[in-house]
Amino acid sequence: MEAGSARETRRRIDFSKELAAKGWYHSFELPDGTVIDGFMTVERQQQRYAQFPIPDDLKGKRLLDIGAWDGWFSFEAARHGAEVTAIDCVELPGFLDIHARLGSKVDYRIMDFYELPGAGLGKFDIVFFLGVLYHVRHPLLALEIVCALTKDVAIVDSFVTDPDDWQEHAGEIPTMEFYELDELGNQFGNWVGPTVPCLLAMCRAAGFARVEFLGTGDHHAVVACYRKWEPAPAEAARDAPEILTIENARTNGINFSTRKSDEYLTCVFRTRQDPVTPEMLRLEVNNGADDFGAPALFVNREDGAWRATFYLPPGLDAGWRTTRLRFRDSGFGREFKIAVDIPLHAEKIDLKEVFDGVAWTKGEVRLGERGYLSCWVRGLPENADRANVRAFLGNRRLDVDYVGAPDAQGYRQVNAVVPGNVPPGDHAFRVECAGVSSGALPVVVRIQSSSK
Amino acid sequence: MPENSTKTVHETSRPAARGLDFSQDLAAKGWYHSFEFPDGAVIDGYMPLAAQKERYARYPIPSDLHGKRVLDIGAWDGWFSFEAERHGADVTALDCVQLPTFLQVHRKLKSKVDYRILDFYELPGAGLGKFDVVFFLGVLYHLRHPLLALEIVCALTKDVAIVDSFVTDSDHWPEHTGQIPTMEFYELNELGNQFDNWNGPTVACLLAMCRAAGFARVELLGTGDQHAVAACFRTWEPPPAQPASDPPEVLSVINTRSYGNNFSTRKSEEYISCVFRAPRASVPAKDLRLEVDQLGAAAVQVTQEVGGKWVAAFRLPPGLDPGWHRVRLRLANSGFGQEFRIAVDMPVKVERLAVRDVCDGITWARGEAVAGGCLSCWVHGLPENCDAANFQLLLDASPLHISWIGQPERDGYRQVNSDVPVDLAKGEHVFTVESAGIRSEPQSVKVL
Repeated sequence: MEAGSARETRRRIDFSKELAAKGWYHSFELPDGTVIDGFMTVERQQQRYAQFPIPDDLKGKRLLDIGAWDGWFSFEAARHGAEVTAIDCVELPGFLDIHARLGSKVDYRIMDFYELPGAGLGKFDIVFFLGVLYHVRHPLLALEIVCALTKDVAIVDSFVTDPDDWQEHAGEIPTMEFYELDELGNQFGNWVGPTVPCLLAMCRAAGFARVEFLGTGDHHAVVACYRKWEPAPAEAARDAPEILTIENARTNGINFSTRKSDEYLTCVFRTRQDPVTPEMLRLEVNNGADDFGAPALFVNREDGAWRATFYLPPGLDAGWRTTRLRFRDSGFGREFKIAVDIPLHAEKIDLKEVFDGVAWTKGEVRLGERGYLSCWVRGLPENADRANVRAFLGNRRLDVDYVGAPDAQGYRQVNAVVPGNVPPGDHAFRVECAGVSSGALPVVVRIQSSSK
Repeated sequence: MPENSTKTVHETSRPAARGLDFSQDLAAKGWYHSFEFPDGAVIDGYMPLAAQKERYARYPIPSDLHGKRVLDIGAWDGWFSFEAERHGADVTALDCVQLPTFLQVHRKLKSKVDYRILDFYELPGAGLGKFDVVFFLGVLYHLRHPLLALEIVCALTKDVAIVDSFVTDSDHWPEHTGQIPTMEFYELNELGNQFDNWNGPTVACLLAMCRAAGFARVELLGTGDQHAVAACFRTWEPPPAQPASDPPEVLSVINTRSYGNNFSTRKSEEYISCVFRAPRASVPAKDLRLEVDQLGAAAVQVTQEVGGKWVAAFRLPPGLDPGWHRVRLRLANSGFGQEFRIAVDMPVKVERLAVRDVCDGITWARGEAVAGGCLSCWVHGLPENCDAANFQLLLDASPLHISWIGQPERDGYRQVNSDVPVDLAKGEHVFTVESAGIRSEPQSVKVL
């Protein structure tokens, strides 16, 4: 395409004059017979609404309309029974006018988009995110925020650069245009123009379980973004995966932080299925009444098992969360618990006994290329894991590779790896967690003559 | 992504994967940076020492960095951190994981570089203060939110940030001149077979994002080998010693959103509007030099109003501390016009509000006003940072449009003018002033 022509095409997407002439963006047909003729026709609005995969009856559902403008979609959802919160960055007299005329109960709030996560609005069954994405400076962050607020489905409608020919780009790397100034429609306040594949890729990368393309038209595309998997099959077609572990891909522990920008779950499992592809896998993390789905990003073969890595679903509340995995056509394997944003706290840590982890001889470790120490510790926090329990031999920090479950007396087995270059002789062994150290126990390091 | 993912079983659905996979070369070397130590020891890393020195030499920073604070974001093995320290800087190096290689060099050099392990987005809250020079080398394309990342870098920089990033068109970017800048989005491992790459801007897009982040000036230093380097300055070049033009006559400096003089750094988009007269017929945006204290801001829009006044909008420079800041404007070839002050992130503090002399703004008749006219009053107790957006004049329950706020007079009272609506009912109304939840004693105003 010629350099100038794309620029001209984008500039022409300017409806500000028509909008100013109409005075309204949305059109309305009010119960008293009043008709408001806005830039978008009522038929078009109804057609769009009908396209959204949401129930006709929205009683008992909470719905968030982000960037409500004159509010047609908010009031339409309220008419279907939803409890609606509408937000906008400026208060629009048009919205207030309709709100008053309808005697509406829609909760109308004025805030900056990025103030949403801290606004204490709770989560919503359905989120409308219509015509806003391209107005925000950080589109992927915006979709993460929308995802974290959604319990069931978010409808994402955005300006796109290729609504009519996007299929021609299938197979290419998705791109987006960046508008520094008023390149799009002569308006400041437009920041990005994704292609249709880029919009879909960003919705997936934001952490939704499933993303469904609903359609395009007139410079925009509409996507349904689901937080949950389709229901498990009534009749399993194959065995459930045998889950060996579900852990944090960064730390190999069980603790997860929602404040990290990239936090991933990794799941190691066995199955007779071969090969295993990401599309086959359905991971779920329970959050109260909801089971948020996470898609697999990649699957690797590992020692006769498979290791798959998933996004941590956005919007998890702090606490213990149950995680489980199935195939598309199987039941779930064993559940694992993960700790989300749980502070680490210990008061007193007792170290009972320490053994060679192979020979089980007390108070010593036999060293070949490396050695193994096992000990029993009481007082570790419930969310103690490989990453936050530290073991020391003298001043040397050891790699902790196992933290067991508490026994009847509350003692937990902790295993640590001793590097081969530790000098033989007497050492002091201790365990530390959450800034609290156990007392030290003596460990004799012996060089294992038979190792080589 | 922490997981080593050089080989995946899953065939990616996008065959158009880009090159730039140097993971095997890197694994063979063990080091990314190369080093040459004072004792003659040499570490031969993936990047040759000569290339590192060449890159460093290109940065527009003083050779002597004594007294300068340098932040190296994503330091990796740390060559650039230790090189800046060698030039005298007080260096903070940051990475998302602790690298044993960095620690090894740190010990060997007995370095004082402050090495911190943080997630990039934890930077603004880490209390590190601001830095004269920021290195942001080879990190941008690893981040999910590139423009946000550049805003964060900008807010931490006092003088210059060096931004070096992967770009998609390093060897043919001039061909794209005049086109709308684009960036590629990498959902999975499309770039270099690695999962932790998120975006690939064109050179033009990288520069546009650096400008949009809020730097005053952005200079392309060079491109090559799938990357580009930009110097992003927070300050304007010095004003001309001999101005060739009279300064602009600055009439007002306000918040574009609220029309007040208060600004919030928590808003994602906050702009300064500057109204001025200029001693020339045309004023292109690139000729305007706005300064907030020392920090420069570029004009994003300039329009001429009927009557000849100019209105220019500038992005509020990132990283301003709470408090009053001096705002002034010059042209590229002039001195500065009149100074104004803006209040950044200042709370609105009010203890008690007193009102005297509520009167018709034309006749000065006390206790009277005319529908469609002007109402004047004198108010005591308004905060220093009061503006039309943080206090209200109320007739009964309806706020009046505030048209002017005067400076405090000798007795501390400030004159405030407002417009009386044309359709206001004649007769007695209750007049009050309200700010920060405090309300003045009601007074009676008779609308004629």
